[in-house]
Amino acid sequence: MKKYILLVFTVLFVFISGYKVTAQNRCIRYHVLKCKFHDFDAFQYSGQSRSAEFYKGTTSKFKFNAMAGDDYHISICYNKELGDVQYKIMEDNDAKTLIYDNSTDNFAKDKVLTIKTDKTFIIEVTVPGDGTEIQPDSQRYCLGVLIEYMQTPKSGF
Amino acid sequence: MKRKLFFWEIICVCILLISLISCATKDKSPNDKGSDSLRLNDINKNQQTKTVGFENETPLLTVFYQIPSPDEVLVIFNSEKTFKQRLLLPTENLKNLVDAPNQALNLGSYSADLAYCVTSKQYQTSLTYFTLVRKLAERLGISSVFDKNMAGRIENNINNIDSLQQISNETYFRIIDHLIEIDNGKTLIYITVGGYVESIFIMSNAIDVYLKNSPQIIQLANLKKGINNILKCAEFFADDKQFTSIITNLQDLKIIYDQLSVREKQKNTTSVIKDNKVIVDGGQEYTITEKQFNQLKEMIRNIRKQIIEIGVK
Repeated sequence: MKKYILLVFTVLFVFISGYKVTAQNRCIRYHVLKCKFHDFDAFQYSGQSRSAEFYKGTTSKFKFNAMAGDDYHISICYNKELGDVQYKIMEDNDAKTLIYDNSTDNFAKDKVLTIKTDKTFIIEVTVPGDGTEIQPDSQRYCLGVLIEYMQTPKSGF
Repeated sequence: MKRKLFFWEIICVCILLISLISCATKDKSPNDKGSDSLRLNDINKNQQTKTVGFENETPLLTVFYQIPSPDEVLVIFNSEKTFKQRLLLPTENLKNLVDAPNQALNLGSYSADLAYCVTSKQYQTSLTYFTLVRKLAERLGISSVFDKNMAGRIENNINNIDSLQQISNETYFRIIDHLIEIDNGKTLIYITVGGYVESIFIMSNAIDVYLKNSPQIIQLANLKKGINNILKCAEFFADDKQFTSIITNLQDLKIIYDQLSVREKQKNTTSVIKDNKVIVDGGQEYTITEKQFNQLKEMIRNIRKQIIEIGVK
């Protein structure tokens, strides 16, 4: 009898470990599922979009390349437990020139950029809170940054 | 008797659980076995220190995400008037693609051709190239990314350019996301290299007359960053002999790109908010001379030829 119970627990352990790996990747497509796509159909999904797990107090960043002649729609989405999340768009140069900061725009969740010269940007996301301690798994939430692009529409004649 | 029944119940539960686990990992490519496949999660995993945030991804993916997709590069072609059918890979090449690396490289190339057809509003040709992409994905064992509705959606939207563009883009990213999900870094990079080379080929060969400030020439110069990132990704495949010759040629292409001069539009980058949009201008941009343009055109033609021929038996 003991033998069978041990067997069941072993199998359950293997199953639960496998499930945990899947749980760690649960945020992979969060930006596709939760972020607001632009209403204008001409905007296309960019593979530079990202999602990751965050907890309160985390700051994290990634780079993205923007091409001259295109408009980029940047849309951020996250679990409301994270509070008002700040995101900054900076140029990837020595001075880290600030292009946009949503904390000065009422924590807006999306913005359109019109790019006239090719740029590499850094998107820095800051979740409010005390980030000094590593928090338990239950306090981790998904956060996504959706990037869409389209050719800048011509204006005037 | 009761004890025996209990034993079989346990066995059934075990079988059920094992099936569930294997289902979660089952969807692997037939070309994705043993050391032949580079696992994204195996690459420099010890360099990762953070447990949350974007920095938690592998170094390969960090660079990979910065490579623009064919749709993103070729969005500049938005008219049927400039479309050149001769720039597309012949459809009959499909039957020559017998080994997995060649299939993956050409899947990238055909995806770029599909993007070019769609942005140039070539509706029927788009359908042909979509079918080719699907067939190659089937051969690579990743056809599960195509659902039954996809072909129907193309036929129903055959005259709607925005929808077709979305389907072309979605097709590409479904393949990419699936490969990331099943942890097949090698096929991922092969497809990306094929797509990028074909995109530069189309971009450079669609230009008949060199005009220094034309949007296509500026776009071609701006692809410099992509080449740098492709080569960074390729560093993870230093031991892959089939790939080495293509990488060597891509390094020669980088030499041409490294010679491009830099022009300052305005000294500093400016950002102005207008109509709720942030307008970003200024800073440096690359310029390409006619001589460099011709060198680049020739070089990319050779790399593309190599991709077509590699592995053809």
